[in-house]
Amino acid sequence: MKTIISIALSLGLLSGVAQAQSCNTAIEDSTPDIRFVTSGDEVKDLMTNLTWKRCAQGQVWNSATSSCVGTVLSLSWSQALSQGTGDWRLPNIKELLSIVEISCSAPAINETIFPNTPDDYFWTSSPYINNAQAWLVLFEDGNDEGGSKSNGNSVRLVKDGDS
Amino acid sequence: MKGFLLQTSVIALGVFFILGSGGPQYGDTADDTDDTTDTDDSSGTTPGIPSDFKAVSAYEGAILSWNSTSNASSYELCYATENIDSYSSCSSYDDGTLYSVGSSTSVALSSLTAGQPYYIRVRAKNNLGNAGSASTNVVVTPGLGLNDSGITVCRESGSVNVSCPSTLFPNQDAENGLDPIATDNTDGHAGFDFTRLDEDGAEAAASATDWACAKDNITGLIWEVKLRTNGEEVVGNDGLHDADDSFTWYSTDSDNNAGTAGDDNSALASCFGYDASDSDSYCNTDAFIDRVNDAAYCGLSNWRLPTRQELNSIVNYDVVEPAIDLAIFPYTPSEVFWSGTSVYSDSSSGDQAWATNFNYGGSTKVDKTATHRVRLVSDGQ
Repeated sequence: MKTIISIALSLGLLSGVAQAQSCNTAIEDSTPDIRFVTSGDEVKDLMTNLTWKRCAQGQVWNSATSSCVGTVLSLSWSQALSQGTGDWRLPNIKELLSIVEISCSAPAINETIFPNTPDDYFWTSSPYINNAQAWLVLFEDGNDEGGSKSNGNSVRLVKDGDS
Repeated sequence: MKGFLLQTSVIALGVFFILGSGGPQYGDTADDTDDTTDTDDSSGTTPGIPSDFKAVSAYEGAILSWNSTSNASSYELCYATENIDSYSSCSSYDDGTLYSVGSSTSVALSSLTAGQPYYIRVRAKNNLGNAGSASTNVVVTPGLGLNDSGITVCRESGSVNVSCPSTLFPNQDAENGLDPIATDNTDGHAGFDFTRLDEDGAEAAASATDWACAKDNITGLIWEVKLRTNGEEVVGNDGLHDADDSFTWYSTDSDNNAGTAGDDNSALASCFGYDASDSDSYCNTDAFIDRVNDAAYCGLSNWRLPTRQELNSIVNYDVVEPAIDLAIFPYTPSEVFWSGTSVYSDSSSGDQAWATNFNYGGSTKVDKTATHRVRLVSDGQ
């Protein structure tokens, strides 16, 4: 195991990101590049007319490398809902599921559009109707589930395309 | 040694193509056995028909893609609001528009009319501008973006509804999107906006107690409505669209089945018209799609399984058991429904597909050999 890790390190595979994304070519892309119009740290999705932050909250956009750098914030549901300023807000469950890249894993997202996305749970603004949880999307595999509102999870903000 | 030979042949091919793209003087020997419609060898080889042409609905637009075609240097589209019989007469059709794509094999069309079905064909051109035959028509209906979630209540840390907005839990789902501004619930709960259709695809009478399909006026998709008019939860006693029928997941589309077709004839599945001696009657998703298309249900013959995201679009997260508006989709059981989307697998055999559990609206990964419910979708026509 030690040998494998040192080889991986020497190849730069473990520098910062835990593991590389892999995709299955026998599944249609759900989020092809053609859907998106990027503008620095924002991206408009032509399919939904929503505009997204390319970085998770806590990360900072690096225009030189077209990537997101820094540490992703881990926030409770209350903190997550409070992240948005101006027109930016927490996405609801359908909005967040709309940027899952279903043919890929770890993370299940288009990494050209949303670089350096952690394989973690992201909050939605949608409360679970039949219990005290709120809806989460796990970007390791793109699945959805409920989570305790006091747990710390990642956040990506969205705004309406026209705003 | 093998590697060396491969490398050499790649270099040789590169030289071949550079020569080949050089122009009219090249090609006398290579073209002789090619396309019979290509009467002039100096014009190069006419490209074939772009394969796997797909159109996906987008916000007042459509996302189109196709496979690259040999000998193609550019692509061109014709789209119209009626069937395009003859590509060369593109502009003679209603709203007929020619669109040059360039060398890309995908394009996003914008500024189309939401709710209006568009017919689209694509063809390839070679470097001399000679066009190959066009694809068949694909149909897509542009929409107005995502459906809202249906959620109309705000919550704090517990499961008790609170008035919106909450100071500690601000800017929740219920405060944004279509749900808080929609005033008409007869077309669907809160922000949902459906038109009920009869078996011929005409708008159902307001007094109708049963309808066959539901057109989503936001996503542009048309949905199969299930039936249980006999009032009993009995498999197959309400015909082809019985709400109680169950199916295995089955698709031979190797571009989109993650390497595993699934199960075409399980003893556990049961559905209307099953006959063990007739594979057309089997209770799998593929055979069911064929049967609904053969019946031209609601006047449509492009029924298919919804993608996972499309199936999610009709979840109403404001209710459970089932998490859907029963006034639009009556008789929906609180059960798992298949999507057509395979689950990612790191091997060449993806044994699972995504499904939605309409008990509460959550997604679930299910073995393709399991038996679940199906609600088909159409892009319009």
